[in-house]
Amino acid sequence: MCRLGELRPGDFRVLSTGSRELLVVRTGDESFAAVPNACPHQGARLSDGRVERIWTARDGRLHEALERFAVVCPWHNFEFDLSTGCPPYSDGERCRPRLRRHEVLVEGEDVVLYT
Amino acid sequence: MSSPAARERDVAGRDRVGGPVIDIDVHEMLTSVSELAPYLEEPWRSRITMPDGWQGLPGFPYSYPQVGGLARADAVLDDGAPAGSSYGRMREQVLDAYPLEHAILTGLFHPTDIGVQPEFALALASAYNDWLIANWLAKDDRLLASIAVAAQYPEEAAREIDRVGDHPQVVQVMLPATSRDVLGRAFYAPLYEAAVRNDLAVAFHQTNDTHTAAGLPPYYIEWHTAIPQVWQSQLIGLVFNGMFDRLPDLRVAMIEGGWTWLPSLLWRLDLNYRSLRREVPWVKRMPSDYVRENVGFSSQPMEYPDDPRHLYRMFEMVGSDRFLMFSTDYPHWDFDAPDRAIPPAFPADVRRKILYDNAADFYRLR
Repeated sequence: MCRLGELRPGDFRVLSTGSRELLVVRTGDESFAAVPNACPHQGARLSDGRVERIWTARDGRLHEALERFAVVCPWHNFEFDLSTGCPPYSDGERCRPRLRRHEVLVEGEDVVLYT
Repeated sequence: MSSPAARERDVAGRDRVGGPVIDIDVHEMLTSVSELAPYLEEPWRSRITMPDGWQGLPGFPYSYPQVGGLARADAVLDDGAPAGSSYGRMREQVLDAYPLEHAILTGLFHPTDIGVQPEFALALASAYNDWLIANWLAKDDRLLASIAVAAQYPEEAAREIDRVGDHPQVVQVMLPATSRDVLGRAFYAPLYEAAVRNDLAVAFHQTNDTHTAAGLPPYYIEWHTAIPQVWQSQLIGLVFNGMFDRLPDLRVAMIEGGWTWLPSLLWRLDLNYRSLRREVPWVKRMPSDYVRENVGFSSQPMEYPDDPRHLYRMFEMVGSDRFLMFSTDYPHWDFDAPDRAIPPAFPADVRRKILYDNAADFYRLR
C-alpha cells in the first residue's frame, strides 16, 4: 500500500481498489490500520474527517490524549477507534456501528494488505 | 374522617394489591413555617417568629383549577391546615388503606430554591430535618425519609447529610427539579459524595419554583404537562458532567417527572455520545448504561394511553423492567391508587417489581 517511511503516526492515505476506497492510517511505529473510507453510519468519506489520538480525561476533568488513534467522521462526528473499529468505550454489544478493519502487515519497508 | 363507603373501597383495594407495597412519594407537610422555630437557633429563629417574619419558600404562581386545590379533595383537612400535615389522616388514607410496608416521605420543602441568604437556607434545612425526625419518623416505623439540603453551599450540605444521614429511617437526599442550574455540575460533587458515603439515594422532585423549558406558560395544564423537561435536563447533566463516573455507587431517584420519555432520552443520549464524546471524555461508558444501572423512576403520574400495551412496551425499549418504582403522591390531587394505577395488562411479575421489588432493591430495604 505504501512504504513505511511515507507516513508518520496519525498520517493517512486513501487507496482505491476497484470501486472501493480504503483509508490507511499509521497508528504506531510498526502498526497500521486499513478501513473502508466510508462511514458505516451514513456513508460519508472518512478521509474528509480527522484522524486524531483518542481523548480521555485525567482527574475526571482534564483532556488527555491516549496513544491510540481514532478517525472522526465528517458527518455526525462518530468516532471509530482504529485499534478496534468500535466507538471508544463502546465495545461488545455496544460496538455499533462497527468499522471493518483489514489486517495490515509491515514487511521490511513495505506496508502490505492481503485480501 | 373517611366515609364508610371509602373505608369499604380501601379494604377492597388492600385485597386487590396482592402483596406488600413500597410507596416512594408521600408528602409530609408543615402546618406553617413557624413549626420550625423550636428547631432553629438564633439569629435564625427570630427571622421566623418576629412580626413580618419569613413567610416561607417561593409561592406557586398558578391558582389551582383542581376541585381540592393541590390535594385530592378528600385529603383536605377541616381545620384549614395543608393536606399532608396530619399523620392521622395520612395513616388512614394511605398507610393503612393499602398494604404499605414503607412510605418514603418526600416533603415539599426545598431550601435550595431560596435564591437569597444562603446561611439562612442552611439553617432551615437542618431545622426541617430535625422537625421531620421528631414529628414523623418517630411516629411510625413504616415511614422513611428524604432529608432537605441547601445545595447552594455543597460542602455545608454535605455536613448536613453527614449529621442526619445515619438515622435508620433516612434513605435519601432531596433536591429540587430546578430549571435554574444543572445540579450535576462538579461544583455540587461534595453533596453527592456525602450521599454515597451515607448510603443514601439522591432524589429530584418538582417544586413551586420549577419552570418549563419555555418558562412559566399561561396555564397550569401547560406547566403540568411540560415539566418533565426539567428531570430530563438534570439527568443529562448528571451523566455528561461525569457524576456517575466520579461516583459509580451513586443512586438517583427521579420522582414525579414521568418516565415514558425514557426510551427517547436514552436513544438521544447514546446518539450524542457517539457524536460528541470528545467534549466530555471523562464519561467512560454509554450514557444509557448509567441510567439503567444507577437511576430509578417513580411510577406516578402513571400515563394513561388508549392501548395500555403500548405502556408495557416501554420496558422493552428501555431494556429493563427494574427502574420503575410505585408511588402514590399522597395527598396530592393526581394520587395513584396501588390497586388501580398499573394497567391489568402488565404481567403479574412486573406488577410486583413495580409495587415492591424495584424500590426494595433501589433503596436497599430487604
